[in-house]
Amino acid sequence: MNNAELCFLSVGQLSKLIASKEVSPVEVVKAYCARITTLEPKLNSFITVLSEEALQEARKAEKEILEGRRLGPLHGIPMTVKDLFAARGVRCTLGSRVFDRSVPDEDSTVIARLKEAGAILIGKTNMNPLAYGAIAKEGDFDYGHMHNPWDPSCVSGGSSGGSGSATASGECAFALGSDTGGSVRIPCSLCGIVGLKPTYGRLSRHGMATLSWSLDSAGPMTRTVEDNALVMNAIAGFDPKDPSSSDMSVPDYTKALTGDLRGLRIGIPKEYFELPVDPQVKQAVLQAVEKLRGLGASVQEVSWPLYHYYESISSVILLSEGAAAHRELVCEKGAGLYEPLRMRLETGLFVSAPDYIRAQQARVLFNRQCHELFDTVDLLVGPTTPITATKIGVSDVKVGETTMGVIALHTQYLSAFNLNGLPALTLPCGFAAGLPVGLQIVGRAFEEGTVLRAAGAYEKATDWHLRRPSL
Amino acid sequence: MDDDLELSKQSFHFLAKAAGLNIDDPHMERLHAYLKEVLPRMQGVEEKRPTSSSEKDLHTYIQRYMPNLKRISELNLAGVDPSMVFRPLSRRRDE
Repeated sequence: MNNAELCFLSVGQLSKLIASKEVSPVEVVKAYCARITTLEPKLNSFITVLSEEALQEARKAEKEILEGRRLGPLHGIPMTVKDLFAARGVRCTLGSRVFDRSVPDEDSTVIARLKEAGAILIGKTNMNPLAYGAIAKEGDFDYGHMHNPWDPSCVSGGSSGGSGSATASGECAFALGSDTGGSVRIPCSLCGIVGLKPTYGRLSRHGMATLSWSLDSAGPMTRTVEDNALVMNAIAGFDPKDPSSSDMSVPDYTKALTGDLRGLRIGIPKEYFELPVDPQVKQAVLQAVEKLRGLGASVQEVSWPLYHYYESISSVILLSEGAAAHRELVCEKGAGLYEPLRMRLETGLFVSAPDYIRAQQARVLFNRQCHELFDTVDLLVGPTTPITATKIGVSDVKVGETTMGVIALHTQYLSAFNLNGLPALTLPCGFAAGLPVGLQIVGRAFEEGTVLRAAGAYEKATDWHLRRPSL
Repeated sequence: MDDDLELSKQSFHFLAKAAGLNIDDPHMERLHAYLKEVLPRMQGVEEKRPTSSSEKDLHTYIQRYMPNLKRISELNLAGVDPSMVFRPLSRRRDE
């Protein structure tokens, strides 16, 4: 097996080889380090690469496994995390030079849990500054653009773009991202991998830099659905350090991957296709829906009339909470921030408290209507993003007769589920002009298992997840 | 608010200072130029398109976001409790 083949194994496959001692964690880490060295000039996925530290951890893991002390399926598996998760002793930049020298002395809860499970941190990935998604012109981001492995002249998507490109290109086995309005799902969709934004409260936010307290979620980014379930098994669950953490019991997510969709009811909100969507994306998504129907699910159209308010509500909340979270930063070090980000944060300072509270009232109406949909269906399905990856530097695109901003298009099907906190997963469902198309599957609160079940069955019946970018 | 009103520089400086911003920063001129068009009327900038690239970014941004404040006012929010969690502090057994 050559390095590229090793690096593109799924976590599940790699784990079995490590468990049977056919492959050593040292060999695996070396392969990933070599691949990172080769690909980084093209992709710029990383802000910090931890080759030496990872190799040291791999030797430790190798010893433990040889001595019969294997910790589980993630033991010896190299991972990356978006550079807003605190990792003890490693700088944490949030994608901004303002934090270039910031070194936390404690692990975020999700990183601590992954380390306890034996995963090896191989680096911290590039991101839009402060995770506030924006399209930048060449050279605008503090740590440079993140390039899409399927076409490096295209964006990998924000804001967890480095995690997306690293996972899709085989620079790591899996990654963590964060999602406030789609920041896990956008790069996963554009890079052709699997990304889950779990139910709000399912994953601890402790040690993850805040953009919006009520919208933020961490999320695993993987090449397969099974890998996503494996990572969720390691990180989900109550954390007393996070006041929004839920104490709902956590199932074994891999057990949801039955491949059986019989009895599952899928709804397609008719409002989805009233919005601008690339015809090729629409076609791929509708074909995927037919595939799900063929696998035993029933499919019906549903209506969510308030859907068109998603942007109004989420943007006012994000503006306000983002400005509150970073007020000291923008007031004291604003000149050091990426200029469009600075303007956004400052603008948020001028949104009144009553406006924010009214947005939170509107959020209740919006969420109630979505909640009612789940009386008749088990899942909502549709496109993840209405367009595929655009060229770096492009800020507006024409979709049908409508010219829209790329950021607005990217979040069109996503921020609604940050508002209502429901679990939402994207997985590849096709290609348009050589670039991946994503399918989004949304479930009831804390029913990640049902979402993974549908995604797993679809993945098993298709081969999109097996395609690799030619880098 | 009366549509004829606009955010005067004096008012802007007052609000900006209260928000903690440094009103002597030359950057404030640009911020004022946009906010004065947007915030008092809570609607997007339709005129005076900016020229520099960073100003264009802000222009695009405010055009997109500020009409949203107005949009929310279309909804009947009477009797709706906002989605803001308040829980009296209590100590869990496992803490």
